[in-house]
Amino acid sequence: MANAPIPKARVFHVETQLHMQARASGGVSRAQAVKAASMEVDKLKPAFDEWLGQEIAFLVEAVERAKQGAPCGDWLDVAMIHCRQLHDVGGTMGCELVTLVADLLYKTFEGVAGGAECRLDTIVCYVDALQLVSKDDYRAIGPDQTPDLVAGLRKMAEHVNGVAM
Amino acid sequence: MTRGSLKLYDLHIVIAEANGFQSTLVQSMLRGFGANIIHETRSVAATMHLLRDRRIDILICDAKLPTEGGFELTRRIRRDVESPNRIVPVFVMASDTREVTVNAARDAGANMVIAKPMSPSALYDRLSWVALRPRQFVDSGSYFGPDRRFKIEGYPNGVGRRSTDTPLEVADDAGPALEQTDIDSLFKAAREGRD
Repeated sequence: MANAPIPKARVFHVETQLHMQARASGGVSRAQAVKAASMEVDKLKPAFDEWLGQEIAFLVEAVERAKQGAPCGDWLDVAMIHCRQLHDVGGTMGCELVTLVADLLYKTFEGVAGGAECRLDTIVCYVDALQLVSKDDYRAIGPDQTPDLVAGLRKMAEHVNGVAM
Repeated sequence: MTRGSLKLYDLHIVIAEANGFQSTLVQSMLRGFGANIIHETRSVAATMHLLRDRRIDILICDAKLPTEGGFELTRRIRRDVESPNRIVPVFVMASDTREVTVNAARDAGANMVIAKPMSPSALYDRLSWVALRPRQFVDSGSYFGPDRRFKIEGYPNGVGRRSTDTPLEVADDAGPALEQTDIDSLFKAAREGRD
């Protein structure tokens, strides 16, 4: 094998303020820091209730436009943004089912954006499921506690997207 | 963590995230960790504008930050030879952690990917990892950023592709050392558990 030329890369050490402070003495333990952060997150729960309702309303509105026959360009991007936001925040706020359903719905949207058939019945079903799992009764429930619901939603996603979820 | 702990007090931290609630969440976690100076931006353009006149210590950005995305933001920061923030630790928050996403973040010059939804412990651990295990930087012309070989610690005995690595010396090709029948019998013996 011919010798490949060795790339002339400059490799050097960097010292940032983050690194310097980490080496300094003092600071709080991981357990204390995580506990304090969790308490800060808990303070956001009232605001989260309002935010969750708004995000689902935006999503429902976008899907309504689709049901009325609007072209994908008029609703899909907006629906994807709100769906992703629900996915990103749900789990952190203790609503694992919101994250799970939003994840499956987002993958369906990705398929549509990639040229797959737009199955509105499936999308509406996921939106209904999102509305259900965002209710108080479901907030603290994990996917392992609702195996039938989760299996059904996954099966639907597999059917629509053609891959295991 | 045996060598130290995360200390974020007085560090300038930027959260670049379009989702206002997500940004507030990250900010709350950081305040719980002891951070007191946090800036928020909602787009690549706004972040670049902020970084133009300010030296920051940590950037936490969303992979899908409008409009060009967090990877492009990272690339721009790393490419800017005039910027005081060129070596700033960059954490990319991503809704998916598919290999393609992680590789894209790494190749853009990000220090770490944080999966969303995130927990306070996951954020703490990733910040600590970068703070307590500094990586060397590489400037190869086509790439500027943290050494991308941080998981595989190079080749045995320092043999590798870089000029600082030990050159690999390979003996001249002297023809096949074993006949195919010898190779077959070796594999057969191994399968049967014989020496």
